[in-house]
Amino acid sequence: MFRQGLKALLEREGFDVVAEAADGHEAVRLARQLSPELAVLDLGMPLLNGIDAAKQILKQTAGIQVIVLTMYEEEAYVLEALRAGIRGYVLKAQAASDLVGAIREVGRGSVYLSPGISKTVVDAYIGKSELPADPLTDRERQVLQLVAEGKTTKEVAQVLGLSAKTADSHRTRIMQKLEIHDTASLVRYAVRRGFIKA
Amino acid sequence: MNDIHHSAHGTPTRVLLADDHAIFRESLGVLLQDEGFEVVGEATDGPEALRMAETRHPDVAILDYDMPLMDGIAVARELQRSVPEIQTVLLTNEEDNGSAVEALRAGMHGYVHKSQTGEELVNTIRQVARGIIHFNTRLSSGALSSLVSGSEAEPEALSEREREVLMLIAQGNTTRMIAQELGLSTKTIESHRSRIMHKLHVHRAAELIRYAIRRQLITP
Repeated sequence: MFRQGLKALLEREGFDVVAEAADGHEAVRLARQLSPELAVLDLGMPLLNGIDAAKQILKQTAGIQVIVLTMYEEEAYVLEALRAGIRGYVLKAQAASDLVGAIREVGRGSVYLSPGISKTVVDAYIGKSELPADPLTDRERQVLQLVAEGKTTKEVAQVLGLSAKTADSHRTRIMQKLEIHDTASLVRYAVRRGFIKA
Repeated sequence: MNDIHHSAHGTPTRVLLADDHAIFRESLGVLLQDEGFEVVGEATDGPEALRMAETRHPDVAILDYDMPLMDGIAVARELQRSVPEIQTVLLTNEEDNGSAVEALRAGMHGYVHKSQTGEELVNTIRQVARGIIHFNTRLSSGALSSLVSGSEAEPEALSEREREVLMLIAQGNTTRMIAQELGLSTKTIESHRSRIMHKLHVHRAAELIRYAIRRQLITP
């Protein structure tokens, strides 16, 4: 229902909403098929979260821009988004006019962050402060999200188009890298890092 | 062609929207206005929702479950006391429908999950405005019968032992370790585990962990 209302709202502002997606994979697929100028992604989508979807979208289509919509204003998320090449970070607590402004700004080539996101974040980004590098590769992140969502190895393989063997070895690698030995702790890590919500 | 909904007096149904995410609230507002509803107010939190409902007298108050200060169900409970003629609808993002029983107990008239379509929301509001109770969720017969009989005990609640086992599972312990810890056989632990999953309507082990985090039995 949020998507439907948002679509109506954006169309009233003169934007052409070419498609809607319910999860990150669908978003990547539709972006590839339709080549929109801009993609607005929820940070917390099932199957593939906004950050990882954004990375794929930016890689596959030249000139496209991505804005994320989220309730989280923590510095770590904002920096992660900026690092992924996302140009707009909009908070759900803000009014729709904020998103509209973001779309216009990003469309003009600027970076847009909602008011309420601390200046220190921007400074940190500009200063390229030391944030620990993500221990996981993009593919491993994708596997982690699905495992944390409760998918079996077979299902993970299916969603990502891999062999079950490959999916399984990704899973093993993830646990090795994170020094995590059981699924429960993997799920807790995923919740902590914002891959899924509890 | 938009289907304009009119109340018994021939005027559009007046709704109040309460959600702490402004953009979501506004999106819903547009959706509902396009369907012929009159949005008489938008509230950012529970107390504001209460104030607005009491002063502006909507026909239906659409309340987000997860609001700061006072959740949607608490608001509904209050409204039941002060202005019972206002129908209330709960809007939720919760994965399990534990809130559905609570909402019913609080006298709410409608229940919609945010993943549902605008049409389903509109339909619920229309039903509710007519005085019909419309919950878009499956309530187990156990939950309903405990509601009807007025008993405080929810049959779906976990026993002390089950809660214990759940916590140990969520902490990452193997069945063997839990069995050892509690001085029980692994078979007993297995059956506790499946009983827990059955009671919580959960089908995957990972969902148990998320449940435990949500209910704050463990930290993430």
